[in-house]
Amino acid sequence: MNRKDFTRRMRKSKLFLIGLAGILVIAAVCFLSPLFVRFDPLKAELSNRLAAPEGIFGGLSRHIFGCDPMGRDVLTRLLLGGRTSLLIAFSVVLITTILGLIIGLLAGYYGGIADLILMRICDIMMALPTLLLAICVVAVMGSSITNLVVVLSITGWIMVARVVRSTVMSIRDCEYVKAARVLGIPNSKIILKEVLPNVISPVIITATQAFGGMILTEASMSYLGLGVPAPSPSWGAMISDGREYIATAPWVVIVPGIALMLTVLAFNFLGDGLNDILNPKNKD
Amino acid sequence: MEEILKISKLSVEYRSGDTVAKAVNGLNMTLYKGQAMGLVGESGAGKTTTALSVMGLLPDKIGYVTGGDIEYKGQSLLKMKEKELNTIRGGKISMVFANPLSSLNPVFTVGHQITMVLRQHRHMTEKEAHAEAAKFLKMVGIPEYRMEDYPHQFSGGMRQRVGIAAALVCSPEILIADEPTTALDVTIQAQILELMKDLQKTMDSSLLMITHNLGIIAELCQTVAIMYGGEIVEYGSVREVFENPMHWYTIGLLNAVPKLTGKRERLASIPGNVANAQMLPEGCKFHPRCGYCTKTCRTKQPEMICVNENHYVQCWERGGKAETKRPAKGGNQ
Amino acid sequence: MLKKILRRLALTLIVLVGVTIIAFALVRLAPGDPAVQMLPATATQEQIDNMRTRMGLDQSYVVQYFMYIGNLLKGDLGYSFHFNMDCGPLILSRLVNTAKITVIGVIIALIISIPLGLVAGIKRGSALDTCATAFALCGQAMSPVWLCLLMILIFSVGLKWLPTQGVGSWKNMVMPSLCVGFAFCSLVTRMLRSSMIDVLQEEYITATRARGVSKFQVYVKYAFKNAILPIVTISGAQLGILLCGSMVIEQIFNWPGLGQLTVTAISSRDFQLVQSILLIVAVIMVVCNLIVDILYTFIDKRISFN
Repeated sequence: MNRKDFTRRMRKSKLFLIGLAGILVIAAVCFLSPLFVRFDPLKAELSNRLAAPEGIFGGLSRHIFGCDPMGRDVLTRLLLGGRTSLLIAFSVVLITTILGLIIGLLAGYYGGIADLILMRICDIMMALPTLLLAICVVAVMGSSITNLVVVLSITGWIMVARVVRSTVMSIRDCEYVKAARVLGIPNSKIILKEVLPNVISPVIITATQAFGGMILTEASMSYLGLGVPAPSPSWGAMISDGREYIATAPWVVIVPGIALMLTVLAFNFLGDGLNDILNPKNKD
Repeated sequence: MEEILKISKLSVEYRSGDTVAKAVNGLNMTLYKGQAMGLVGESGAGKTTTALSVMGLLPDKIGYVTGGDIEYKGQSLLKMKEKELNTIRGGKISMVFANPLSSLNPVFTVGHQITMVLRQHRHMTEKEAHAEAAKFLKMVGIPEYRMEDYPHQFSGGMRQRVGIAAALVCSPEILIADEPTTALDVTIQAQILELMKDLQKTMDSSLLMITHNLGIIAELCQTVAIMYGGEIVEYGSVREVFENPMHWYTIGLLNAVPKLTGKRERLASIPGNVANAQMLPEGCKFHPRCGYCTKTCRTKQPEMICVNENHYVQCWERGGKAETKRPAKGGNQ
Repeated sequence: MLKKILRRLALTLIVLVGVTIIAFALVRLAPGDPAVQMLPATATQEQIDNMRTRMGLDQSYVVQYFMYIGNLLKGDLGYSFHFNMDCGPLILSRLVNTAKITVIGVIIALIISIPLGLVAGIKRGSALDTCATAFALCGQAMSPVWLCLLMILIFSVGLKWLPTQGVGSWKNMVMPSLCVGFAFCSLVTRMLRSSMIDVLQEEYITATRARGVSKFQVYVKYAFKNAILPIVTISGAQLGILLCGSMVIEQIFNWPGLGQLTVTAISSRDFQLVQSILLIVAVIMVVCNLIVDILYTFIDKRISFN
């Protein structure tokens, strides 16, 4: 696909455009939030305990989304929590993609014992639900943001590696790769020049689609108290904090929940849109 | 002879987003009882679209009949209700598809794919249908014990036999065969053609044979229609058309057939590409590729003219001139 | 065929051995001395040392691993100090509870998602399709935590129809089941829709229509069977995951299932129990996948058992 074709398809895909716009807005608001938030996200102020939302008309100096059980401003925590969530998800997706790409390429291209071992490791990892494995490992290692990233990466690379492996295996048997081998071109060069460009699209699609899942897993872990350690804000932990007050102060739960859903939705849109655009099977 | 299928001024469009492809443009064609007719043209000429329009199976929300009519024994198929159409499809008019690998459902046994036709049209019980289907499979050369097998257990040729059995099991009056042998090996092609020829004769069905292989037409059909850019450009008995081709496209097609005998010579090909259904040229649709193109050809759509009672052609250059000069390189077989 | 079954069994065995290694490693890496945890806080050093010898903790890791495997083969899943009982019966009783809400949830999910996905795929671009797609997208983007709390807010706080947690009457099972089934429901709806769209473009569907089979029959009897295949493939892993219990959902509704047991085991640092749960979970997953694979060969004869 040439660049012109790509841009044209990109403009045509509504899913992609909505997803991209959503992510850009969310990321911009979250990452620029230190410039404009007026409250301390960590300092408890019990006089404001569970203060009700005041809406946007009072400006940023009021509690737009109300306060949580510790009297902290929900909006401030929401924005800073979003920053953490996005950073964690981004780091994990980056690490898993690189790891999965390398392992998948090697296993798929060379096959043999490396492939056999990879597939068995995949089988073993797939026999344990991601969340369960992640929680067990965090329980052993202790909860911190670094550990969270490590754990989610350990469980996440398999997806990418499998996708890369199967793509590479189908490309490996193509005539042009065989021809390159017959011509005596070294394997490293074939992998970089012939195979790699073909796996880029499926990897981008898988990575984008994994983003939403990562954010949700992180939220579930934070809810169970094994994710982002308190008192740092995180959407999962915020929902957890508000759980007991759901009858009297539902905003504490509803606001981060909606933020979570919109973010994941934006990433899923982007992933599906990219799938439409990059997948040669989908003609327009 | 009794007219059994009459297509008049049929136009079909494919619409997707902003693009419109005019696949069939005012096509006229008549098929008589017991007759075998060939429909020839390059890929993209609108042959399959014509067949699907007759079956009423143009893809939903993409293919639209924009004009004309298709009549089966005087009844308009286009105006018919879905329920009536279902009694005709597979019962009175049936179709053999181009690719036997994709036209049989992989998760049902071949036996089921034939009995489903019988149960649909003859309202037979499971047992009766089974016996009848077995009989037909035997006729196409597949033993009864293979009825419980799945399509993937058969070779391409065998699958096409199943497809033919499913199409003929209710003794339809019209059989539309859409390039039934294109996907098969040459040796298997001959067997399948032989089989179709026999079955068509014994059942006295009419046959509409869609192909781009002129040899098959010569072998199987009495009349032939040459299709280009969604319309029929030349029509007549096989003998007439092949021995005395009038349209320059037909001549080009015949010249492109390799000959096994005689001096070796370069194969002639028709210059240019098949007419693009999204941007059809003005006037005669073949004119950009025609070596004998005149000013009128570029601007005005030619009418079908009668060469003799067995031969019709749609070409300005031949207009009024029944006597033709044969091209230097003879084009018949 | 026999060779394939043997191969399959060998692969299953490798998976289970792999899981025992992970589970074993986890317990050894976990902070805290298992022997200390087994004893009351007042235990003397001598008692602790005795316990260590009894539990084999003074042996090398390799020996300990094989002792662990030996115990497993005898059917001994270990002892949970937090619950003061053998892990085996404990896990089993919790598994039954999880199975209850899972089965109900999955059945509800299938009742909703199959017709919805089918119709959305057939009537592509219609209003119903838009609604179904929106439902599926939101369903997959929704955190289970939030979904549960939202349900509580609506059904318990707002309408006061259902109790927020606990066990006992059927009312207690409604919300957990719905929450368990929700994600599965949206997944199936979405997959069935796209798979139906693909199948309806296949030539064999046109061929079936060309044989005079009515549209309705083509959709429900023929295309559906083709379209359900990819869903059967993924549902093995999905069912396994659901049966292992959603930690979040069971925790929120205080439903005494496997998921809640896991959370309790981890938060009370009962790693013997965690170890056994991991193993049981792996067995459930493997069995679910196996059942689905067998089921698959019945629907699609092209794939022979492998």
